[in-house]
Amino acid sequence: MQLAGTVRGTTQVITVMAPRIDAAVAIRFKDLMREETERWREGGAPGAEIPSASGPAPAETGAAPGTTTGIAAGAGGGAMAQGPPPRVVLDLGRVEFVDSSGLGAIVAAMKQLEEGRRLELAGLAPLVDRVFRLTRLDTVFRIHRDLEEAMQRDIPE
Amino acid sequence: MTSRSEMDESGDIGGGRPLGPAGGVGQALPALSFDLSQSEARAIVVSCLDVLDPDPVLRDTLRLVLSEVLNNIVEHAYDGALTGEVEIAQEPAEGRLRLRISDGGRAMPGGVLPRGGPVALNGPRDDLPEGGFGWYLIRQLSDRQCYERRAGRNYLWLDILSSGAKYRA
Repeated sequence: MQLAGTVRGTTQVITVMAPRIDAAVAIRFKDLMREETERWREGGAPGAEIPSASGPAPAETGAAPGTTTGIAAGAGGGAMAQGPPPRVVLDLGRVEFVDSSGLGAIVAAMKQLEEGRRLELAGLAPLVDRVFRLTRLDTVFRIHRDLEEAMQRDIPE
Repeated sequence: MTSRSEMDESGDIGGGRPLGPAGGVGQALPALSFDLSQSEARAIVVSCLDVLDPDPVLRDTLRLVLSEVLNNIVEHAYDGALTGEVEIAQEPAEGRLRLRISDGGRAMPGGVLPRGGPVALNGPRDDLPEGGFGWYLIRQLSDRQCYERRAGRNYLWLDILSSGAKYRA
């Protein structure tokens, strides 16, 4: 289970680099989501020094070499200075299966966002879409067909 | 729910009674036993799907249902100990797929299946539930659920309509 994060304008895009969010990885997913979405809290808390231009601290939990768990080059410093992007889009385009534990972990990821930030979903495979609709969690999250659609709908502040 | 006796007239649930026709869905699933210490729940589900070979919609349904059931067995019946075993068998049932899943773990609390009602989603964000979806999904994705505790084992029967029409989006 790995996540890949980038910042595009006022949106943080987090792509799940795994085929499943199930009971076996749900806790790790939740922890990685916290890590991705709280970078700003570590470095840019009120009254704290903005870290140097080297960008956010490297991920602490064993990302394999060569994977992108950081913020896209060039976007990190500016985004840090401005605080966290208000919108987080979770790109599920590579995920084919989410079970009840995965649903719980996605809800938890939303709840651990700071006040004022929102979590949206994109790229739900048919079976994933089905569990969201069966549990009516599709009424809790804004869901986009894919990442492209999610970005087109981004309304800059 | 129909009475248990209709689902199990012989009373011979643990004795490896011969499996009947598969009700038009795939082929008969032999009583597969799995050692949870050696196999992850997901691998068990994949094995079952390979044997049953259902149509794509039913396959998705089964994948979800079996995943939820097995995860519950691992987490609750066996308390996450990963030292248990589970047996999955198909039983004859007309026009539908009937699965029997048994394990030697702890009994269901109160001797009954969880109600699995819908999860309340209308509260504030911080009150949204992070669990409780499992049995709701199982009940949504199967037509009948039956539970018995016999001779130190849990037996769960699930009926799933063969047509799959009910489950289409």
